[in-house]
Amino acid sequence: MSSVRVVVLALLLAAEPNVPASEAHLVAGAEAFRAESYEKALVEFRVAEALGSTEASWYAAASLLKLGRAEDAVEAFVLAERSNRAAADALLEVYRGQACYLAQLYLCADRWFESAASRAGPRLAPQLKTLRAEIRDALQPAQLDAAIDRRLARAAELQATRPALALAYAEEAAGLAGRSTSRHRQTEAATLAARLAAPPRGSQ
Amino acid sequence: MTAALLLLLAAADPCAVPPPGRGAGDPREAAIYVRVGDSERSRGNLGAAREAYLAALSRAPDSAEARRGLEAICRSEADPLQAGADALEDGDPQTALQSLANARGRGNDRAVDLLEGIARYQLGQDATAIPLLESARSDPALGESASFFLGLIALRRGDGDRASRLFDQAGRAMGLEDAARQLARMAQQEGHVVLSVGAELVYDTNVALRPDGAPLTLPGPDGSVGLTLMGLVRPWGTPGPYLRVEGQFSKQFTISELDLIGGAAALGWRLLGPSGSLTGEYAYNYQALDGRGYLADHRVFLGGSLLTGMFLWGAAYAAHFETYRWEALSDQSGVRQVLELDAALLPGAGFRLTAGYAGTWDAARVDPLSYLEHGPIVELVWARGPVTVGARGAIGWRTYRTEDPNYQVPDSDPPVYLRREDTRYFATTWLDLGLGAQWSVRGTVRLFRTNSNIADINATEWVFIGSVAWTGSVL
Repeated sequence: MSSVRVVVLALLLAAEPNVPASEAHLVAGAEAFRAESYEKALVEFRVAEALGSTEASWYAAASLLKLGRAEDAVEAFVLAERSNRAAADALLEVYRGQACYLAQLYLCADRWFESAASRAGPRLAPQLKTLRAEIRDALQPAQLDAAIDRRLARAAELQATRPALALAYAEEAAGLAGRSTSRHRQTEAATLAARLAAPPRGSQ
Repeated sequence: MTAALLLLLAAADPCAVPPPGRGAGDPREAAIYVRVGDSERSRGNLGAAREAYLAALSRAPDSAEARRGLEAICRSEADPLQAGADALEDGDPQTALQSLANARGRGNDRAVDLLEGIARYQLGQDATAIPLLESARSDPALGESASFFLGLIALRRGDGDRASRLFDQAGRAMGLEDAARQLARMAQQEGHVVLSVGAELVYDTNVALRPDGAPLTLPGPDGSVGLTLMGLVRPWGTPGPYLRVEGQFSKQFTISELDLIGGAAALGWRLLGPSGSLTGEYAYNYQALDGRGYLADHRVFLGGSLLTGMFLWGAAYAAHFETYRWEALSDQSGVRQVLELDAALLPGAGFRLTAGYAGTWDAARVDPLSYLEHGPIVELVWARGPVTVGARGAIGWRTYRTEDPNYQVPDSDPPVYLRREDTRYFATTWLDLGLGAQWSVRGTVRLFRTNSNIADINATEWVFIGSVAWTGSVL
């Protein structure tokens, strides 16, 4: 989170006495994030989230990434996107790509790096380009089938308890299957991803 | 001075509870921090959870929930073994492994081996889990628990014999007894040579399917006792080939014409994968009623199942080449084919809900006795410890191929014959109770009802069965 953003949030908070309670925690979280106190940041973002801030969900996900909990971060980003798709910016997309990359969800990472690159500045763009090249190298056709099996197995393992994270694995498997010459388990992966992407019963 | 010292100590120790009386904040906000702390703790994010509890205590110093949470966190951080055990209990083997990585070298490595072995087993890493569990088994205090999980691995690998022995050892441990007993029963059925003996007492309200409103002089209710023997030989365990031999005897209390003696032999092959199985089998079955040869049946069977996530998909096909030995029934001889497709939902907590559709095509020697039957099937089973409860219902719509000269439309001239069309209803419920690794008792109630366009065929039958069975692996 940039220091400009923290300052803007703090100024808004000072100028408007009737701001929602969640904003104070959002600012506290942003300050902790900037000070690299990621555990404190995560807690403040979670409290802001509990008080109604959907924006805070994105920053909580970024905090999880900084805490080295890549899978948790991937899951949190999926949930944040569901609650407020518009809150993402280029930096959060980079964080999301990093979380995917660390969880070995390479197509997911590539997608978010690509999206961020279109809006990135001159310092970030070359780094994203390098990361995307590494991803291309990692996706060797000969190893795709085994990679699909691993991701589908993980998706199956998670689908009952952590469907949002399972969705990320199932989408990755479906994407890899689309690149596999034998279309290895493509229908199975696509079906699982579609089922997990459907809104939970009762959410409408 | 004291307050200053306490604050200094609190700053030095991240687990120190802030001293009370610093002034309360918003208790609702404190409650939110506690919820966040609980949530992060359950995810294994102990540092964030500690931050949340401390934030809660700074707003509500008297919050018992926040104090309890903080104390639990600090215990876990001080004792990574406990943290690993907590994570396993929360169903998070990955986090357990992270905690256990810091637990070695503190004088309790056998316990670490046990917990890491369990976590590896839960993650499907059997090859890594086995040496860890074997190491834990060398500690008498941990032996039973380690044996239990080694048994689970053996069962997963199809080595029922070894699984059975390990579950026997595990059954000595308090708390594992129920699970070990049920798994031992499964393992007993996975041995190289398995014997099973079953005895049953039956009461049937309509043993000869007397039509509705028929005179009471026709055979009606009757009881029987039955005995079933089964032997199964699997030289190489499962997967692999097998030979099954069965004997069946049933003695009616009053209608001796229905006394049954039967025998069957089957040769098959069962393939078993991590998420599916496939069985192919040929069987010959011979039955005699009242001492006279009644039915000879050559059967070819192919069936399989596939587990994907919470769903178990099943398919089964059988072709029966049947020969009725009695002259009066010989026209019913022919080929009867049965196909069933089903899907079972396994939502956990021991439940299995199955829905399927079955079809039968019976090509008898004469067309009026040939029929097509099809209809849905639903089954619900719940198993917990030694208890299994189940209920199954099915409907079959049966249409015969042509008109039957035995059923003439009344007063028709020239005679017009009816083609038989039946709707058949089946319902069964049962309760099975395991008594130790080898014995089980079961109570079953069955209902069968036929509604036909020919009133003489309408009938209802209730069957009540009490049975006891012994199943054991002898090799």
